[in-house]
Amino acid sequence: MHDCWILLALWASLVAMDTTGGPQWLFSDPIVAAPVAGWIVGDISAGFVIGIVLQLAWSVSVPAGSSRFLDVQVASMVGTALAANAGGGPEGWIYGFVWVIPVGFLGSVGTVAERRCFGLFARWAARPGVSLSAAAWLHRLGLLVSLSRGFATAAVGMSVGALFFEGGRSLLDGVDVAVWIAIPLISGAAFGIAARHSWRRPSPIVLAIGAGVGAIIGVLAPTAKAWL
Amino acid sequence: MVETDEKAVVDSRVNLPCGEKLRIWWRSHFVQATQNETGLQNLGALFCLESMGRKISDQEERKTFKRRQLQQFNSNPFIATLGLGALARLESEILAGDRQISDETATKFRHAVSGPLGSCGDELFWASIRPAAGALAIVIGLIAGPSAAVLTFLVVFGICQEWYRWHGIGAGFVAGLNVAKELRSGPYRESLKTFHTALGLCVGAVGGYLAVSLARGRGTGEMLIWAAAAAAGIWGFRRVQSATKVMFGALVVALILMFGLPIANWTP
Repeated sequence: MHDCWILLALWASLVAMDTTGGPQWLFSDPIVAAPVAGWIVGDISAGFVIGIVLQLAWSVSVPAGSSRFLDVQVASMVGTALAANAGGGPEGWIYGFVWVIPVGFLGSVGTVAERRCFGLFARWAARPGVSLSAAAWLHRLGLLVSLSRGFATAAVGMSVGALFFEGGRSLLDGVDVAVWIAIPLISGAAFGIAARHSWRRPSPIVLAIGAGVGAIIGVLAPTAKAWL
Repeated sequence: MVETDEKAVVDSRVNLPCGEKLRIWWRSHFVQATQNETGLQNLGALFCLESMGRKISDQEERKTFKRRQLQQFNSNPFIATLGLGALARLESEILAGDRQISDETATKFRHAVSGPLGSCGDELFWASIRPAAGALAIVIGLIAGPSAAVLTFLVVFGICQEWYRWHGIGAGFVAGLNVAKELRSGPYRESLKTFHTALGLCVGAVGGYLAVSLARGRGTGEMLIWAAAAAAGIWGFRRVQSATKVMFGALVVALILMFGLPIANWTP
């Protein structure tokens, strides 16, 4: 993580811009942002695991209008970087998950500040002396603000996280079972959120059919992989 | 909705020039870049329709155009083009001198259209297409690896959103003040059922796959822990109704288990 933190911070900038500014192709969603961060730090599986759990949890959120939401996008990639920094594997994933919440809140605070700043932009743009193209340039400047927010969130999140978790790593020695309980708890919560979200809409029969299809794939996939 | 008159009847012959359509389509990707608490996407709407304002030669009229565009505007970003298309139609009619629209009418229209555009788009994209694409990507990723998951999500979601963006401009422009009717049409309302079904299938598939994969080679105790974890998650969410609170709860329990309980040597 220390070798490639600039790359990570740049990726975080793009992720933050995609979240609140544009082009909103959703490469900022955890299922993309975290594996790419994992690829940068050389532990794509950590990114994938963190991405799956956070994507399921994030799926239930509706970031409508000016609603305030946990910045899981930048947090997921910071969490991935920390997980890799802590040596990867289940222990590392736990560090990553734990750090997602504070970084997410930091990002959320940044988003609120950003919106206040954009309120000023809109007021400036409304002044009679401001031309149409100047107003459009103020809008473009908004993208730069989002980029900076992502960079700052990631830089603070990674620096503090690395200090905190490198120091605390020894606490986990010999608690493998606890780690293995903690992971399903978090995954279970995330999956529960997504499942409940789904049950509200399509009929449970559809969900059951899906589960059947997934189970068949789950049975066949290892055989197919071995055969290939 | 703003009251419609005879003149507002849809004229299907009307169309937006391709260059203009392309410009609005590209700029609509950044409509939310200066989302703020008072005007919401007002500066974004102005940015998207800037080229129409440039056609106005009279400085006073240009200022009026700017003032109109800086009125409050809100929409889900992926279907904002529908509202932008309708606004483009209004502006082109004002430019052509076909219709005298007061600032008050334009403001009323923007307010009236913002609610439906936001709620319909949120239901369609945030609550249906994105979770379905995410769950599908997870299933593909579990089978074929993380790169396949990333590609699946980007391609599936990308195709859906770009189609809606492109379709929205033309449809909004043709509908004009009647844009709310368009929101009740096929692509926006009827397709919801299809996306909900896809969402249910994909989420179910993730659950089925994980259950089978975990069951392989694991002891009964561990499987019970997984089942209890999933049940706790479902129960927790039904009680508190907030993703952040459930994540918090799960993390607190996880931390207690990690550092607090003497279960390091426990075996099922």
